[in-house]
Amino acid sequence: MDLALSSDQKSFRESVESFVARHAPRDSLVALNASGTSWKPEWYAHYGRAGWLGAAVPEALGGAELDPLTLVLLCEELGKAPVPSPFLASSIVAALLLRACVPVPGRDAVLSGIADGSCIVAPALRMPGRSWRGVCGSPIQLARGAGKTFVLDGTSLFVPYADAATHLLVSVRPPDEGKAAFALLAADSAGVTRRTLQGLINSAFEVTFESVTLDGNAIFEVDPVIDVDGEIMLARLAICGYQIGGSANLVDRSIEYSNEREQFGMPIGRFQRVQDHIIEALNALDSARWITYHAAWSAERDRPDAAVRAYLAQAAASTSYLTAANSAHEVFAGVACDPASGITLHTEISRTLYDLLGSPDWAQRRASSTLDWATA
Amino acid sequence: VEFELLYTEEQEAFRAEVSSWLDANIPAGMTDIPTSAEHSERLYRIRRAFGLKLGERGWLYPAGDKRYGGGGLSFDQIIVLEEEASKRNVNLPPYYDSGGWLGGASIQVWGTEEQKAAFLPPIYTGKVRSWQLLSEPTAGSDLAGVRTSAVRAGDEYVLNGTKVFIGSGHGADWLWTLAVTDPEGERHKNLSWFIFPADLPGVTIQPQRMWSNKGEGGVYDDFSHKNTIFLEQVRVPASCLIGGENNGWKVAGTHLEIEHGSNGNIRSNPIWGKLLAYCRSHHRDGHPLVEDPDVRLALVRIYTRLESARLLAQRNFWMSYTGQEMSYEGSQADYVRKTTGLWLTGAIHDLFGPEAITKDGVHGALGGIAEYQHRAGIQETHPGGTTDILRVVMARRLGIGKRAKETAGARAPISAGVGTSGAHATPGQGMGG
Repeated sequence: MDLALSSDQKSFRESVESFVARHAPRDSLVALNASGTSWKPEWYAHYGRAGWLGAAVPEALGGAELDPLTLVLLCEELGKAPVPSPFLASSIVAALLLRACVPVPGRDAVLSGIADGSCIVAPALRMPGRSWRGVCGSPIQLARGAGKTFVLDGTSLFVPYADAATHLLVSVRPPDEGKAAFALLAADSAGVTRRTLQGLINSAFEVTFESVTLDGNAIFEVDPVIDVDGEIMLARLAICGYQIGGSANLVDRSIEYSNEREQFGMPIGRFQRVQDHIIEALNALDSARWITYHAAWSAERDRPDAAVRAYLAQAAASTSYLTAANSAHEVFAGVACDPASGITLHTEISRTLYDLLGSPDWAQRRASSTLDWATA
Repeated sequence: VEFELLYTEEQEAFRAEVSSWLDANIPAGMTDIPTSAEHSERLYRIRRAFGLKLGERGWLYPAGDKRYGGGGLSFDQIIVLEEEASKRNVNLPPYYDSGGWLGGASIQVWGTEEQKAAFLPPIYTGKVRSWQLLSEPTAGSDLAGVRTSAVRAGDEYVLNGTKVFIGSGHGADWLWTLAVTDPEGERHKNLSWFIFPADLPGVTIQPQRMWSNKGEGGVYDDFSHKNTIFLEQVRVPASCLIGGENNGWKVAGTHLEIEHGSNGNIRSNPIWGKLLAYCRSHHRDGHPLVEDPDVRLALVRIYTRLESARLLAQRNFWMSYTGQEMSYEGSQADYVRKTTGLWLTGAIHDLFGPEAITKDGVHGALGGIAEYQHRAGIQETHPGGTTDILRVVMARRLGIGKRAKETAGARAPISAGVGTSGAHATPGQGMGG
């Protein structure tokens, strides 16, 4: 047993940390948020040069295909800031969904595009009025069009970074077939409308499709032998990494503030009630971190429990980020609710990521249905 | 024990009077959520005008002393007025005015007859609204550690300092504050309490946008804000000093006691009705939400928490208005209210998913109200005492740790012949004080 990071992993993490410190300091993120801008495309250019955009893309298609723990470390550092961008949605979630589809040339070209930054793909996985039942759980029913075409009519909700996307990857069900599939279409296709959903959810859109004609080549069938939600476990781990990073930053900042801020003639960190908030956040953080690292290790070793471990990590990390954000609000009190503090950046993203790929309850239900505890 | 409110004929007659008056006088659209800065300002003006009408009848501050413009209503009448206003989603007063229910209460207890006659009628009749200036950049939980100074200069005091997280949008007519009048004095015996016009030279009000912005009358308002207030050589007449020099902490004890929840109320959290209505009218996977066993269980859990908070507030209302001796109850009710609000953010998010965190008019749960609740549930755990402070107050009142039980802050008699105990006690504010 050796739970230390390798020197390569450490230096990789330091390189990400350095990027964040240089390009996404807290003040700039606060200013960006205040301006109503969701992200900076120049960050993405750096991501591309560093090979991060291809983190989940096979090397044969121009990607870097990072190992699970390195991917977690990358997201952890980005989450500390927290740096907002379509990276998680496109380079991780969409890329892994595409990889779960039956290989066709069109699919691979988009994967290469994701890796080189020419494609930003926003996954559209939720329909209004439907509960979350996995990434293929609420598909839009396709209709047949002329010839070999299909027609897409419907609405997707909470589509991340749809405004930045070059493409949309929509969960669909082809006519007369029960198979799960995804439709890939240009985000500016005729009949597609994108509308921002305001609120504390971060960069989420309603996307409506009105008689959008799709070529048959734009429909990618999910490989019928795989469980897609289990297959994209790396996406869960990447999100966990981001959540762990956010939690870690909030814990660090809470400690720092509790030592700086004085009330009653002493640092507020001297008061046990303040200590309790920080300790609870730290416990949640460390629990989430080690469950996630263990899940990443399981995934790397291709162990049979890897998917279950990823679900458990998802539940722990989602909850950890909320706990850390709420604790920071308790420690900073009113100061945290001044957007200039930067704390609310985390508050908003902790909520946004909380159920991006299903809620903690859903993840634990999936884990419980996958585990075979009834058999001795 | 009797929880059911049984009304007398006199109460029902009063209800008929209140009901018809409110229906005839509440301006249409007054309780709408503002959709623009201009709308927000217009609604504020409407609320103030309505406040004047309420003030003419003594219903703006129904428990206020009638001699000074308050309603002087009885406990029985106040219940009816509260119920009828609540049905119409109207707070009393219908705009943010800490002058009446906090500052006014302090003046009632600590002011001279001259001061009561000068300051209370404009507040109780709605002619002025005022804000409390308490928190400072370096004094939040440690309110007694404020640094704003007041130096006597002839018939005036000269105030200097900075106050944060103040008021709301749309400005105020009067301000009231705690300031240091004896820099060398013992803690809690070095402060004085002043009320003064907001337009005095040297007062600068700078908007301070917050993450969650509650507007007038408790309505969510994206166009509202808090304020930072700078006091620079502000010359305040000595007649504006309430309770005597260096006695400000005792004066503050009155409004802190009330702010910590000791008055109680008989209102239900309006979120419950909205939640239930939404779950009845909205479908998920083709079925009404309310038919989903998981949703029903979540609703029961929410209802249990809300009922607990409601009943503690109701207990305090009864204790307060019937003159029962109070101890930890105010802070307890406020603590439960605040922690329930924070807990509710997660419970509603789990119930509705991402719909709970967008205020989108089409897709946002409860028409976007869930998103507002989420922000407010986090932010509102702090004003008027953090949950940590409230627990400290409770512990002190209970004498935990073998210390002498602290008594509640002094409060004014409420309604004819009904008073509260604990006059001239040391207020329990502060974590380590």
